[in-house]
Amino acid sequence: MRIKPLRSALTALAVSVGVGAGVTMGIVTHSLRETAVQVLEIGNADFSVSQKGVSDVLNSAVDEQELADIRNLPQVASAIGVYVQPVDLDADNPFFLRIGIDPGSMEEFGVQVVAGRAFSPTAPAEIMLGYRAARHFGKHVGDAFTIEDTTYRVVGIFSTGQSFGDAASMLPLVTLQAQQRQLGNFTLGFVRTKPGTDVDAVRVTIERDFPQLVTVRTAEEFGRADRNLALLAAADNATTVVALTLGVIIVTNTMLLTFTERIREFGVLRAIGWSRKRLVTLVFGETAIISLGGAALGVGLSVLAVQILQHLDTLRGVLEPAYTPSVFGRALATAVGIGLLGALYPALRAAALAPLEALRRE
Amino acid sequence: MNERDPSSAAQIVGCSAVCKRFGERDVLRDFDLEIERGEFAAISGPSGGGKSTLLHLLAALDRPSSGQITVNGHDLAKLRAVNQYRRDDVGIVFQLHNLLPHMTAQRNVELAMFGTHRSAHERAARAHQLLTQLGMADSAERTPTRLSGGERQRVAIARAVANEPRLLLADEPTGSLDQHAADAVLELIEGLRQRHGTTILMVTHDQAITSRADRHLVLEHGRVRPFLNRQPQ
Repeated sequence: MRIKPLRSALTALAVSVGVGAGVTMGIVTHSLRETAVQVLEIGNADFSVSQKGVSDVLNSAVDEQELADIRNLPQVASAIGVYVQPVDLDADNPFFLRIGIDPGSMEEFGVQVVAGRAFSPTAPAEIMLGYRAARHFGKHVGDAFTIEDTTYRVVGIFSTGQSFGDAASMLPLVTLQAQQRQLGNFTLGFVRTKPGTDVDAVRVTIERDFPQLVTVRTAEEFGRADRNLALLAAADNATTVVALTLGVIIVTNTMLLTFTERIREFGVLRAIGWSRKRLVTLVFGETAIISLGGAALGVGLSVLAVQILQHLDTLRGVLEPAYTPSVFGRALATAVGIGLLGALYPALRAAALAPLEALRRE
Repeated sequence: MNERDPSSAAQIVGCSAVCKRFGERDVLRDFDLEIERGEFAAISGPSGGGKSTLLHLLAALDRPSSGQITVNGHDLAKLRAVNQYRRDDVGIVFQLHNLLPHMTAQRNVELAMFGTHRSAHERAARAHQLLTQLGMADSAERTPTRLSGGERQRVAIARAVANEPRLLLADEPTGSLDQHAADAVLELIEGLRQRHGTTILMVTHDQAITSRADRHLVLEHGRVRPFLNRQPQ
């Protein structure tokens, strides 16, 4: 590295681009999944039911009759259907959720009215705001609230105990279904089972009896209900593999080039008593510095990239980046992988050198 | 390294019927040699006569085609800890220094002590001490490209003796130096021998050096021909 600092720096830069791309994809995927999963977690249920194979879970359509049949299963305590529709209010609020729900299901859904009252089941212009949304928009019970040219009266403020839900709004189910011309359809069903029931067995039953539906219980399963997210997760994994492969090729190339230039040096070191193990350690150590330096730079680049992505119109309000330890762990793991695999062949060649042969090289 | 033969306490190098063949060519043929501890032996001879090959064999950088070599009680054919032998038992000074060009003189000397019991601090202190002894204290932080030929050779000597080897092998260490620098290097090597009793086997064509050696051997056609004998100092 001291011989060719520019080459080492460029290699580290190449590694950083690979690591940065992987980490950025990881942050974006993780953040989008978290945002989407929070929608499902509003329901205070054991699992959710949605249409199978949709590109976006919010485009899902679950038939009223299907949900009624699920509700009639002996192991099911309740199955609440909601209609969820995001709306772009303005540049600062591009992903504001409207949740259509029957007021009679609110308690089961985990909704607590903290001010005012619940809306009437068929009121055309009544709305409830989550307490975070009310605070954000400066609205109180009795105020007017306009969404897409329709002015509603805020009749109540609610809390769900879940931050994403508390930043949303709720309307009468039929009002929202009618507005969207989706009468009789739900976006999602939220199912709660009876105590002592094997939840997974119920899910298996539902997916068997209703093959057009899919159930989701955990964040990791969300890809089953949202094809876009599944594709994004696949792209994320592919990016990591590509970054790792390119990184290994670049580092191997650099180290081999360096190795060729340093054969005589390795010969000298072997001649003065350096063991093969020490030479291998030297090569791995130098590669580790390049890879870890690249990883650190890559994390910095990915944070910058996410900041830029966050301000894109298509992602504003949806992408809430979470810089979790796993993000940095992933960068570290990629760098270590690149370092180990990239150094392997040059290190083995260095170890196999006969000192006298190496000393004869010019 | 438990291959030591304690029977020959006075002898440090023993070569018995050593042959070294490169392809069809015998570089060393039935070569016999004994060198006593503390002796200064000079070897000269025509190019291709086997001088450097002999040093490489003694430094365990190469293996003989046949015959037996013992150094400091080690039968080199049975040597398992070769790295330790190269590091602790012999020091080698190459004609072209073979210093690492991107490292300082100090660092070049320290490299020889990696893997020994010495800590990083002790390695640095020892390297500095040696360079100071060799009049290189002011140049310790220079890289070889910023040193003269004589200075480079002094660094190479410091590296070779860093672990206080019993046997110092030197392959034309003054070959590329002017007379003044060559004299200085020779003074250094003789000084080491006097202070530490180091045995010296030096390949040289310099008559001024061969005349100062205890023994002058001429290697011709793979065989040794004694030229001059003196008692070890």
